[in-house]
Amino acid sequence: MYVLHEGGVMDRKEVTWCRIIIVLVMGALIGWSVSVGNIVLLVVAFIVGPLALYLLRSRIEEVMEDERIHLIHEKASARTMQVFVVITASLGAILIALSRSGYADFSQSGFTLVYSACALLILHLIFRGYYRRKYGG
Amino acid sequence: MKTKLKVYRAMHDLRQEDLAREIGITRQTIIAIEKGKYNPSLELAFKIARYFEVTIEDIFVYDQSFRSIEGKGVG
Repeated sequence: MYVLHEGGVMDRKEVTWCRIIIVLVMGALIGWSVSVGNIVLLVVAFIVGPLALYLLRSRIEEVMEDERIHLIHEKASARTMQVFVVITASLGAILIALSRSGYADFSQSGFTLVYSACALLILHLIFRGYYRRKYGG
Repeated sequence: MKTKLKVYRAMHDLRQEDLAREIGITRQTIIAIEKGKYNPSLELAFKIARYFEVTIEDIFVYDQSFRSIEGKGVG
């Protein structure tokens, strides 16, 4: 399906397609193993998938990541976290408020969302402190 | 920041892909730098300048009228 270049290296497009296929197969295997309750297959998928992705990196012919890609990841991660925390905390607060005005079923969901937002913020603060120390200041 | 990267690349008869490979970055980053959408780090600017055997100022010209990456976005 994928023609390897001389020396077994692949170009960007081939690597991208391979990555997509590996992730899809891994997702399908994990989903199926969870639905049938097969823990062995689940563990195998979790080991083989990342291993295949790692091995794929050694076949890359051209540079796939550089400082611009890292900057994009940083900005996207920061924005994702901001949006996720605001939405999750707001939704959690609404559900908790609803649970206290007659909809008791929403209580657990509300607290789960609020705690998730808190956990994410704490994790963010820990990493922020770590990187602040690492890069000085 | 104004850049003359495209001019230097043309002078050396290099494709974006070739330059990217030589410097160790992606072709998309070369495109972004040439379009003025991305300001390279000091390290990358040095790498590019050294590759063409010129100074950073020969390739990159700081211009305050140009909005930086922070205000303009990436890519």
